[in-house]
Amino acid sequence: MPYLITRMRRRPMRCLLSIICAAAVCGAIFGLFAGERSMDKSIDAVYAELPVKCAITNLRGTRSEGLNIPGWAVNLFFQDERYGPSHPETIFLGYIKEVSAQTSIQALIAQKPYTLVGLTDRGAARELADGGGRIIVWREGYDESFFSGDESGCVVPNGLSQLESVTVEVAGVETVTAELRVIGTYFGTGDKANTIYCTWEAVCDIELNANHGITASSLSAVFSDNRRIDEFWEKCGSKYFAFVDPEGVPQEWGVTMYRYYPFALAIYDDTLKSTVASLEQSKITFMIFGDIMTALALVFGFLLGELITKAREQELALQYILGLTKSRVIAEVMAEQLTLSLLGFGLAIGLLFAAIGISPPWLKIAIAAAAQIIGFLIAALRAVGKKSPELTKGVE
Amino acid sequence: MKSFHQLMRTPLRSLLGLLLIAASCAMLCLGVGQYEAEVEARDGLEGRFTTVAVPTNKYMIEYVYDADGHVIGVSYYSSQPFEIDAFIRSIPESYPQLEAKEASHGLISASCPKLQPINVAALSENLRLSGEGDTMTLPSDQPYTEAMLEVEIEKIGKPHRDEYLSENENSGVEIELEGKVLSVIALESGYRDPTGSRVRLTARFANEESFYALGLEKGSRCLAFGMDYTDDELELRRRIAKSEFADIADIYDDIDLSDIHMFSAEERRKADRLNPGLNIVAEYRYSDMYAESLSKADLDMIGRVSLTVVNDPLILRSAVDADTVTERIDGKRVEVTAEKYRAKYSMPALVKLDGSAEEYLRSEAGVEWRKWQEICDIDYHAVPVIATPNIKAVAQFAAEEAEITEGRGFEKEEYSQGAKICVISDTLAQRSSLNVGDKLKLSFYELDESFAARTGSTYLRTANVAAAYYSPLRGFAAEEEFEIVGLYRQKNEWSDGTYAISPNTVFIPEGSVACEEYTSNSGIFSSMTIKNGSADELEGILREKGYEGLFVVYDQGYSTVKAELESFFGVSRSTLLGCAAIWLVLTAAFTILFPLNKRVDAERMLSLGAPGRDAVRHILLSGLGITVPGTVIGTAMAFFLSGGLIERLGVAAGVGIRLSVPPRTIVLIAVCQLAALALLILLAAWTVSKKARNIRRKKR
Amino acid sequence: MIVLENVSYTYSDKSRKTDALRGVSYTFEEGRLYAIMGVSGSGKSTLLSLIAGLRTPTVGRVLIDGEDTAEIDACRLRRDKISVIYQELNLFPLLTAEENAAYPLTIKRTPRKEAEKRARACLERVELKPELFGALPKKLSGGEQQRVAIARTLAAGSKIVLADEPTGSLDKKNGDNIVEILQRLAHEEKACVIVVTHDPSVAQRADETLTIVDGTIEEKQ
Repeated sequence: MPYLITRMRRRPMRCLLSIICAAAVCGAIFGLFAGERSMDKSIDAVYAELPVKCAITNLRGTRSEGLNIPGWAVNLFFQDERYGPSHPETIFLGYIKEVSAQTSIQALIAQKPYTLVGLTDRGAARELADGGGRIIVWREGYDESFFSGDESGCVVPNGLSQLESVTVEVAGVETVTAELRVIGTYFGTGDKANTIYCTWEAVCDIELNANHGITASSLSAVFSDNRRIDEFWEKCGSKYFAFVDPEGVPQEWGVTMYRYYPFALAIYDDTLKSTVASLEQSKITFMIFGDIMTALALVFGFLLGELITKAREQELALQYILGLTKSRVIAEVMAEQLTLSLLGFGLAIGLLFAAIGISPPWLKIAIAAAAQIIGFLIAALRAVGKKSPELTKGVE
Repeated sequence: MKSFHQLMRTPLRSLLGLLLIAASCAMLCLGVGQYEAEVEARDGLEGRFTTVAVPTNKYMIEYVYDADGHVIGVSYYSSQPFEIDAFIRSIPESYPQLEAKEASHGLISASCPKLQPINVAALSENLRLSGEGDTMTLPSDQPYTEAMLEVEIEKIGKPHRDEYLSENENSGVEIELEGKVLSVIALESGYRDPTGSRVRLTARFANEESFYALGLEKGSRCLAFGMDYTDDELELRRRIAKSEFADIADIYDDIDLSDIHMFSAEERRKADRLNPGLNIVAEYRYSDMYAESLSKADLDMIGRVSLTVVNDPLILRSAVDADTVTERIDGKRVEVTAEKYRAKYSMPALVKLDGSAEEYLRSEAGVEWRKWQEICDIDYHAVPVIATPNIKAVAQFAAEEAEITEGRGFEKEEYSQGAKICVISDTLAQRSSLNVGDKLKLSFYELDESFAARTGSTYLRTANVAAAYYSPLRGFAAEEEFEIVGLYRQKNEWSDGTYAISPNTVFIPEGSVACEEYTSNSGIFSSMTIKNGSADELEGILREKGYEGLFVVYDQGYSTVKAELESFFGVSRSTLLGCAAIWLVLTAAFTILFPLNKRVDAERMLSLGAPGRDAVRHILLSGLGITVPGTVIGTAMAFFLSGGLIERLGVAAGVGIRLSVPPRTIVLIAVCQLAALALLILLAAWTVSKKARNIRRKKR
Repeated sequence: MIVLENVSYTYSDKSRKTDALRGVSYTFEEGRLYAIMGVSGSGKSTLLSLIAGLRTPTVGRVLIDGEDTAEIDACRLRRDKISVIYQELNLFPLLTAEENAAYPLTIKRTPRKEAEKRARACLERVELKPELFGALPKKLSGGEQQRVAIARTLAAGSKIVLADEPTGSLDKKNGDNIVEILQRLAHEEKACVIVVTHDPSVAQRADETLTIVDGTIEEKQ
């Protein structure tokens, strides 16, 4: 194509217009795509990082503490055969992490009644959690990581703080005696001060020996993969627990020991769902705008084509008069526009890739580029495809 | 020159111009529209999280050390140390980047006949609170445990005194009576009807004489009023249900107390060996594996209710013999005579009935009893009301222990306007058959600190506050109608943690009622909201000041997703810029094609001798003739695209999209577009008029 | 070389039909300069368009070297045999004089350097100043632009040159120069040069003058 580059060089503003138009369309599409990706990333991050808890509750979902959770339910979360029968196919452990549990048993210390409370972590007891009202003063060498172990120590109320160890006697099916080293003292306003805090393992051992079984007062866990919550409920959760029913109507279960589901499993995913829904909505907005922009690329191409062919009317007529066929005239115009569009798209992709750093949406951009070129082609065909007299009118 | 006519003669060209303007207008609207949508989404997201710092009162205790430096105890301050308090007050001003706002919540009591509060003592639920032994702690039984019964006396015990009082203390005598409930005059509706049940009355009288003066004997009928009614059999059933949780759907139907195995002598001896001192005489076996041991005292609880009656208010002051007592009136200590004190603060206790209870209550002698029957009714429908400046700043809501599950919370302006709206628990709503939208006429009353018997522990708690007892001496302070706008649910309704609230608690916006409120700088009464994402910064400040652990901060997980939320906010800006760039291109294209082109026409007109104003008018009319309809079409396109189309596409995609770009925004954009284009057209016209002036000057 | 056989052309739009040419028959020979005269709207430019293949006769045939323009590729015709020169707007505004003159050769795939060399030779033949070879058309006067257009014709080697009012925008001196060049084109290059003109002085210098009145050839001189 003779003098294609020469003519483009000598018409910088018009070329710039084409480049900018192409770059703007590409930039808008890329930008909107980046918005979509950003939403995806945010949604992934929310799924990955926002902790979603589940807890065993009463049927109405209004109590998750002070329950009497039997060993079989505890074992769903721990998979320890001592607590109850194991569940090889429907084990919860593949879906959850950070199990937090509390168990308690009545005991005698020097003939006075106390409650022995076993915890998997400090937060398992509301009163020991931050702001709960009780604080622990640890003896040397101990801190709150004590609860995650299995040591047979205990945290005692102020009245027992002078002791080095306490001997607890638990009368159940069998009478069990255990000696617990005092490793801390708790203080708190308005406390009843007859609770001894130990590790979960230690109290469970005592319970198992005394009662040949354990119960838990509260049991909760965090989901390890928030995207698999529905799968968890379908495959495991719903087999052992009822869904939370605000009316509290007992749901028939009809297995060996139980007429009704004794407990519900509450999944606290409202914040996750509402946050994700908001981000999903934004993502769809970006997606729809991106698609609209891609469709509009056709319109922009057409408008640009009309503009440019209008401005080059005389030139195109002259080319035809000098013997170029109409298809060659259109081909020259399109070659120029294709070059400029590619430049524009390339520029936009390069700049935005450097700025945003995500891989461009090649398919969308290709479709938009094609749409813009097609729009331009339609305008060019309109301009050049006229009958000869009309085409050469501008020159004659 | 007929400008519009000219436009019609080149229809395709004019259409092109229209398209250009419409496309540029639509592009600008879409760009701004998506930005507004993102801003709205951002505000919604931000609004979903509220970061609340709740005081832990860590610094209200002081450790006590021994000679070796070991902690041997603590001592408690009644309030925060002054410097800590001052620091907390100074946070909003000293650290403006935290955008801290203090939230102080106040407590009032209110009664409404429509409300049916939950009396935890009457709940037939297996409740185990704080794991402390077998006895229930009942945080919210006040003020629902008042009762007035008609009783037939079957047995009168011997009077006895409290041996542990000092010499100058006298709390009267205590006499145990046993009888049968003949009828119920006043009892909270949650309890089972005790008519026909046995009753254990504990009568606390100033002296034996005053008791015997009643003339009660075996077979006598009497009216009894007390403030600590207990359903003993329910307590026993609840204890059994604790162990037999698995299969209990109904604590009455599923526990058959007629099926109790009484121990033989051998079994009793074995039980004594296993549990010395507990006097186990029977067991209730509810499965092959499990049985609940029962003592003599436990068996006595079957079919029995209990009530304490107090006939002299000075009994509660252990000052029965005193001539004068000190009263607290409006915070001041005032000496009054014992007679005056009795006259002011007496409540009914026991009275012998000669006729029927109804007759007595209708009689003049029964006016006091009638009055207290009405007071009982007020108390049975009373709830604690928390007036809050920000419901999300209430610790339970902030910690996601409670959430609004139906309706809504309060809007910003509703707090400042003191709107007459409220949020109640769905448990209270269920029990009272109420829904969102229903109206409640709340009669507010204040605590009467001087009426000792009716002070209770409400206002000494920082959690699980209950309504105060209604005091006839103070009456109602205000009566207002409130609309229920939301229902909340709790994860642990009867928890007794530091910030716990009972499901009887009603929330109203601060300032919606003018009443004396009780508040404090700790517990459920005090919290502080800070800007989302600044929890770490606050903790850093506390560490720096040496006040680590002063607050516990709840942010519903915002800090873990903060970075991702912030990156999402920046994208819409870039998109807005892209759309603006396209708008510029299209507008430039229009300018080249039309106003500048018309300038050529206008100059030709001038060269043919037409007046300058004709040429200028031609440019203006031609330009506006395309710009105005094009903008209208573009605005319509934007309305359609940003509303209907997107919603339909969203529904098709399975997601409900609400891209609600406010119509005024679209109109504003359209007006700006029109103004910009008009400016360009005017510029073209101005160059022509300048040329016309030059021509005229040359002619002269 | 150009034979018009009973050529008629009718313009039609929505409202009416206009007979621009009615039954025109004529033969144009090579090596001669023809002038076509007539009032505005008589059909002169239409005749030129028909010969150039830009229009197709409503009735009749236009034969170029025996080939009917309606049946052959008119674009090839204009590339190989026919050049058209108009009163104005003859040149590509973004190409220099040299490039404009070389253009027809480049579209026939002649290498650019060779095309421009031949273009320069043609520009010299039309006596364009060498310093203007690299100038854009907006820097050239009307006469200079017409010389470039004629140089383009020479470079193309067209045997038929159609000029529609080539001196219409020029002063007398420049106009005479252009006519002289056209004369040389006809007599020395043996081209068939047909000039549409209103100017009697141009007609005087033609070998043959045709007058078209109401779509028909009235006079031949």
